[in-house]
Amino acid sequence: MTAYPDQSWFDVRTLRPDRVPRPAPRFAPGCRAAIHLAVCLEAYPLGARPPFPVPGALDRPHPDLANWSQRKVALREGLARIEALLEDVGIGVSFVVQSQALDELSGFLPLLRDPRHAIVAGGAHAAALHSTFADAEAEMLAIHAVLERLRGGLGVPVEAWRSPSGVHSRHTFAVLARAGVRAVLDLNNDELPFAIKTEAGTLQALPWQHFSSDLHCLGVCKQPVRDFLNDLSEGIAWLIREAPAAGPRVLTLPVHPWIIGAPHRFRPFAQALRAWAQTPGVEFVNVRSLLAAAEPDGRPA
Amino acid sequence: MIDERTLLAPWTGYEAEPGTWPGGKTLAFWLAPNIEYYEIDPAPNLVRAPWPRPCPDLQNWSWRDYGNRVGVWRCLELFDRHGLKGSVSLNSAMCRHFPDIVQAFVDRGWELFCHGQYNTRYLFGRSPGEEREDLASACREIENFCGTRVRGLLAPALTYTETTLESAAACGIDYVFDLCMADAVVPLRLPATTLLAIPYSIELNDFFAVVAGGLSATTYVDRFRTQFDQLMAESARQAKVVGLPLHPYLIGMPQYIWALDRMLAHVRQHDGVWCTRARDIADHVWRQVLPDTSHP
Repeated sequence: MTAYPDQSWFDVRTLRPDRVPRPAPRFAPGCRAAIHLAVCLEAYPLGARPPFPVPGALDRPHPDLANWSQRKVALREGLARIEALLEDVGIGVSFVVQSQALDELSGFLPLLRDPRHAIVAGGAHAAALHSTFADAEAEMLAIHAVLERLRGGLGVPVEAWRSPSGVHSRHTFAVLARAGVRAVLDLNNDELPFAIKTEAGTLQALPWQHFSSDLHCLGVCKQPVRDFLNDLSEGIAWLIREAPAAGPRVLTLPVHPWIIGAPHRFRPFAQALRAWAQTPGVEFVNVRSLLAAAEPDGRPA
Repeated sequence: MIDERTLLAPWTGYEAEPGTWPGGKTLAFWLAPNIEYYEIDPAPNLVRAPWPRPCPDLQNWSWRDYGNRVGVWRCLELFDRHGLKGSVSLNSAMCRHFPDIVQAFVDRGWELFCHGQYNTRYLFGRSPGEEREDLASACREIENFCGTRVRGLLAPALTYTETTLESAAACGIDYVFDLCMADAVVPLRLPATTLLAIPYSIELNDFFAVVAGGLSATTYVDRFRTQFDQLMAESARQAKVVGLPLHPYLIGMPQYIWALDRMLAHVRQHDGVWCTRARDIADHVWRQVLPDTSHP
């Protein structure tokens, strides 16, 4: 077989139901579908433009006050609605926090420090794309700065990494491994955690799915919100039916409070989340519980 | 070269085309899963960039990889449950990189047709000789894997040159899926031979409907049922074809797979439907409709 760069990253390349050559994650007894709600708390500096289009970026002439301020909903009322909902439903989630957003999150520190939830570093800000670093050392400095800012500002562990706007350099994974990061949420290619190899060590790839996110389905594709939620409900029911043969899978749902937290979207979203939480076989997970399920002995599976 | 004046004969009405498919069925339905391999860092093409972002475009690349890791197995289980087999639009490199996947289709009796070598290696900009060798090499790789001659072509990533149809014919291809003008089989008149254009139903393609078209799964099911029902009604006058192009990286996701289940259940409710493979559609047309027409 010809070796291509991507093929050298993975030992495991299939979830073929009859041949899964990896230890199955240990989810809670009775779990048939693990929903990973990842709440993305991003900063969109008014003067920062990505060098190529990325979903959500400010895309009107400077100063794009309308889009800039709409993104702020994520750090204000949108997040407040989600906070109340999480409290009401009683589930744990992952917060993907960009370090520049932390300055505006002082009112939400108790939420972010709540031990039911877990913190993922989301880079510096939404336009701080990792493809732009001149070399690995510059990228390492930036990653260290983000991790230090989040650890210092939050006072809780940072348990994984998600690169801003899902953009990488050729060195990103190796630099993250060298920086001591344990897990990444940068790959859309699986429904179970798996180990990836880098020249600096092994990372745990936790399932991500940008193409299930509100940013993609509602922001880019303009799907009606009730259709989007109905599609997800059908998908969860499918995973539950599939689980006896295939085992429980992870449905990752990245949400952005400036989108899903808007009042007309939030109301049906809250109804759907309550319904999912009451569905037998559904377990809500976050990066901490995913890592515990994937690495019961503390090492990558 | 493409001669726009002669490639397609003018439409002359429903009655000029065949009336029924085998067994008196009027509507042919065929599944077309695209089983593709995307390179993370392919050689550049002067006409089209393989990825919208700088290398490594992990966001887009890893989604394609999801199709081969996860989605395809979910789709296969569903096809089996509905008792359906069709024709695989296959990047030939899959035979090397994911032989288990290709073998799973071969074991079930699916047709494999050529979709180029990689979905990141385009025909745009290739010379006629290079293009012919690209397609011949891809067909050889598939034939060596499955032991059956490759007869159909969907150009890789829908990329073409002026000579693609002639190159296909030179490789022994006798039907293609790249032309979108009809819901019935149409002969393509090339200078030296004739090919068949078999409907691939581009607007039912999951990628075009959901990603480019922005449909939810809910509305995608509705589009499929509506198009299917319209063609079912029209098929009383002219034998029609519904192809269903799919991409396991998309339709294999939990939030979309249920939609495919509903579509296939809809197909299975109708007695007048011939669930088949593209190869069988071509065979029927060559033998019953165009028996005297020279073709590759």
